[in-house]
Amino acid sequence: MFTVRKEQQRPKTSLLLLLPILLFLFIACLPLLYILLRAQEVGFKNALSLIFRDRVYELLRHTLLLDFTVTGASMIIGVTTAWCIERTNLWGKRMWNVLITIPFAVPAFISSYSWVSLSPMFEGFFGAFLVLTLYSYPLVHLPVAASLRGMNGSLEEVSHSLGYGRWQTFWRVIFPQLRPALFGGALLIALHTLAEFGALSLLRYDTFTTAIFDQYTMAFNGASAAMLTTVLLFLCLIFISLELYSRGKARYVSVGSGVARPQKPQSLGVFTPFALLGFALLTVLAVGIPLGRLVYWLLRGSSAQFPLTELLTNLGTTLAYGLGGALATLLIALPLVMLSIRARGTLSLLLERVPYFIHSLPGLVIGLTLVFFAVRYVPVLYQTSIVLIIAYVLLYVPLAQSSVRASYEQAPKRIEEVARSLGKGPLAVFFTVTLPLIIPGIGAGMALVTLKVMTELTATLLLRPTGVDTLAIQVWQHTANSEFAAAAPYAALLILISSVPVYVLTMRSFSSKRRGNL
Amino acid sequence: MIGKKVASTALSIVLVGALAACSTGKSDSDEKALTIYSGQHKEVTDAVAKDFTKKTGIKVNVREGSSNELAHQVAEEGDHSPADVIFTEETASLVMLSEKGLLAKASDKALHHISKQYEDANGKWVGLLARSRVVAYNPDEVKEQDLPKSVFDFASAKWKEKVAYVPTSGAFTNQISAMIKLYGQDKTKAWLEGLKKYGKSYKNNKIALDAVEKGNVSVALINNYYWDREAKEKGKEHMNSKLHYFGNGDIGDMISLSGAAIVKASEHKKEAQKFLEFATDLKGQQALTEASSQYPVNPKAKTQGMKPFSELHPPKGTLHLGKYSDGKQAIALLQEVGLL
Amino acid sequence: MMALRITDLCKSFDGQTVLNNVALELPKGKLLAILGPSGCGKTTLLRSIAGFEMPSTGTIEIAGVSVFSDKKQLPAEKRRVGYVPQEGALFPHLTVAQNIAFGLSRQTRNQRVKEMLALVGMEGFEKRMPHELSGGQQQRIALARALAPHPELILLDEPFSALDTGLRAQLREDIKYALEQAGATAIMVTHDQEEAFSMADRIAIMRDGKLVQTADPDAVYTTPSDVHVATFVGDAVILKGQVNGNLVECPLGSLCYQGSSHSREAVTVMIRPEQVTIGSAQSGVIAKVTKTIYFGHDSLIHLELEHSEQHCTPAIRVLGKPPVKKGDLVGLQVNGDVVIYG
Repeated sequence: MFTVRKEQQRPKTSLLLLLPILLFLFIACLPLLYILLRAQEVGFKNALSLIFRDRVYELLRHTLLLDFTVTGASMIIGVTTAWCIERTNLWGKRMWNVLITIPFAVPAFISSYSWVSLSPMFEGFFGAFLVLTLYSYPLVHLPVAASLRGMNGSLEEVSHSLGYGRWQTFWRVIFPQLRPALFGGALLIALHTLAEFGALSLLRYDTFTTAIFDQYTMAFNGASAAMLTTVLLFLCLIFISLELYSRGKARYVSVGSGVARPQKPQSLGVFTPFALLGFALLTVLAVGIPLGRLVYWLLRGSSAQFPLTELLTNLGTTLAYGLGGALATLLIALPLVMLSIRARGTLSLLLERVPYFIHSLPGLVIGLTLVFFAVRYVPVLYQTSIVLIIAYVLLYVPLAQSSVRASYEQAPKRIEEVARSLGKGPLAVFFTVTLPLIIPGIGAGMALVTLKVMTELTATLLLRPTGVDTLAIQVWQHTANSEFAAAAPYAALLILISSVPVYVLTMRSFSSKRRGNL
Repeated sequence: MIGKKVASTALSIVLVGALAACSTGKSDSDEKALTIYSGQHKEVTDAVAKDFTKKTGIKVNVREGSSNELAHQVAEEGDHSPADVIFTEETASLVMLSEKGLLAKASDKALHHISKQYEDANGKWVGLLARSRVVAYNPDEVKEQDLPKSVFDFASAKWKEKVAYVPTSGAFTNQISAMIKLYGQDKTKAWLEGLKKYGKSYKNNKIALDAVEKGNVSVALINNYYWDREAKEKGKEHMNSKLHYFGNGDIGDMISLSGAAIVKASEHKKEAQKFLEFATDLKGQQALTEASSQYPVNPKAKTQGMKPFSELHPPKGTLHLGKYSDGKQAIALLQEVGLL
Repeated sequence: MMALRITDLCKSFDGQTVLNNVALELPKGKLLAILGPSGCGKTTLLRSIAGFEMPSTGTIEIAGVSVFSDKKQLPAEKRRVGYVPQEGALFPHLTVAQNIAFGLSRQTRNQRVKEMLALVGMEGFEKRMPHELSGGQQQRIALARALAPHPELILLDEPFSALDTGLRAQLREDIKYALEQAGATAIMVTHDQEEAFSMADRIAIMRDGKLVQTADPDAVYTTPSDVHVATFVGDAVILKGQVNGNLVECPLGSLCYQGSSHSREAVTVMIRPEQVTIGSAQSGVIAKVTKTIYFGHDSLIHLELEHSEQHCTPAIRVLGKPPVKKGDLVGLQVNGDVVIYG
């Protein structure tokens, strides 16, 4: 699609596809350039001394410990919940499915306060682990559940007929097929944890990102922050290569013509009470406590003046940024995905990974970068929503990419070819055939990015037009001063509107594989 | 047809969203609107800005953030800075901006409102509020008579896990700068290392105070107004913690300033001067001190409920820190010790 | 004027030759089957004609218009070919009628959709969605969709491979009928001999990227260009023999052969099993029955020649149930000319 082959196997890619990608690549280089410039300011020797010091080792230990435990625990929880909901006769599956995806709508910096305000024992590593895991596991649960739904049940039956029990079948047959969804989600979690700021700051757990923030707010030159960022980028490279390695050589385009046969749910038998207990516990921990605390603060703060106009203005701003950011992100993610799938090759594979690399950068670094370049080279745009939207694109392209990619791989190339042979040009084919087919992926991607943009803090703080506040900023500014009653209305509204995209993500039509008769 | 409908609906939603995003784009650049970068607490800035607008009719846009962050931003923005006034928690960031030549002189009128010790020698910035470092303690955990004579004594095994401190706050850095000036690098470093070993670090003063309130720690090293503001809201009798002043000129009682300055790149200097004049005048000072529970720098303004300024016994020579005033040495020391 | 003319078409991929000097001509209104084992390049050839693959060199002309040459590469949408891939590839988000109308202009749309539905025998299915159709129905709609814009050429890529055997025969006839009614020129790619012979006007045999024989079905069957083609398109008894004047001597006797005599003495002899008749052991070449398999409408009889230096085990089909049983001795006779290869 969009490619006219001229030379042998050297597809010529249309400008329409390349232009947004080149634009994005250009912008994606800016943060790296910024870090280099900052590092160069202090000189090589100083830079090294800023990297190789005890504090950095300490941060490295903290960061890695948290990242691996959160990612690991989220994978275990996410796969378990997805399997129980998609494959067993668990009582109340639909209800659980909605309940356990709600935490996704509760920003980590809001739930972290709920925990800290309960008891100081949730400060430090344990609290950070708990809050981030409970916030992150839906990123595994959602894709794995979708993948389980699309899986051909007869494969499992074959495995059973070959004498493998339920457990062995899971490991030998189901798990390998879940790998792309699982590790894709895990990568996102690992990167998010690297870049998490708000929650960890409240939970008194220092990682590279919180340290970068401290360096920046305390010291006047960004050199030290830039040096810490280089270490962070290095970590990110490791995670990305781990994920690439885990993907292996397999192409995860659906193979074969067999219509996925719906499977008979398995009976949990004696494990039913444990499963129900587990789900109940998860719901209480991930939903009950944060929302319960929020309601408590709402009621306590009801005596205080209820800032209705401000709430509504902030709501409008939040929605506008959410949707605008999601649209812009999509316009970049779509060409990237199309290029990487339709013109497979090392280059396009690397190209597709660039956004993930940038994704691990804290919002702060992205913000600083854009301040730096906007003020110097395009002062007209400085402190306008445009620069802020660009920041959102840099931060969240991978989220849109993974959703769009999943549905684009389901749209066979053959169908586009048939459309071409019926006399439609590449653009017409895109709009009449490809686009309608990948609408589920686009919907899911938009929902995910909207959700993330609406809860974004640091880049928004730095880049927003003066006088413009989003709900997240209001919440943050109030919670940072421990004014929880004042923060509560904003937090409640933020969670309420965030649950719309989360609901979209749980809708089957948006996450299930469209198989039918392709 | 269903697919098409879904597509067109989705597209139209997206377009409306994008339009809305653009419309909230640049906030209206009113001729006379003043842009203040404020690192002070939101209510404090809002209070004085509201009175200012009421009096002069000049609209005020406030951009909030941490003081150093905003100063950093002004430095980054240089000649293109949209800021007219910068209002910071500590003076270190104003000193930095002044050194970089990014500030314009405040009008004589504004400078005359306050005594010389509370303003920059070159008139590049003016102090707006003063405050004292204090020890907030929880009487259930520790009796006042058991508190040490000097803040230096908290950095010892005796206070293990009992002292909350906020190494990333501007006030703390400022205190370190003063310590280096008064007691030298080595003693300061030893104190920081002791705190790192025995104390509990928090990300901000309010949270540190909350820890004392709940009894999670015995004492917190903070600024007076965190406690005074909460006491004003809740009533002193509802506070679980109390304030302790060493009362002997110890550096633990040090006074520091929160100040404001006019950004050189400002295109509304006249309005900006008006703002500084207002904020240093009686009415502005009264609004500021009431909203912030900090001490006014204009002697005519009155405080309420706080320990009277005249009863404080701060150490001498901490208002102007000379070569340490930009905080660079303090930051370097914090990094060296590993608190940053 | 030819509906399709291909000259010197080459394509290599990763250093491997996929198309090797392919040349092909197809008159208007004919159905050509490209027959070959999987991996022989037949799908690549089809996709090159459609414009989905770019060959390295050569030319392609469709209805007199050059669509591919050194100077000119028309994109797929300008070539006026209809394409029916395996499994149909109907647009899953469009109804049957919308699928057929996809390549049509607005004015002619309704009328043409009706005609096409009638042509493939699917009237009344306009409003159905693709997933509500059976595999065979999907293929019919896919054909209707391809025929609707009056293309110069229809390309069918293994159109029956995903269907049950039972459905295939009927669908083949129906599709052949539809193509004839539409007066369409068509190329069908298949690895199924029966499919090719029952449908095509001409058959092109493809092997290792080359077209080894292009001829009428009868000619391909009775005079295959080489032994490989012979065994690929049907059962064959292959024997070594010696040319002796007008006859060739082989274990099945001295037989007449087609074409002019060969000067060389040693040849390979190809005999179609249906040329061999089984009689009593009194006459003909003596063979022993080693196995019989009964299929209902016919039977397969495995034989082993007695008194032969060559190990020769032909299998002969006879109608009805086997007239002999294992261990019987029978006499074999060959009717008609045999084919020899040097």
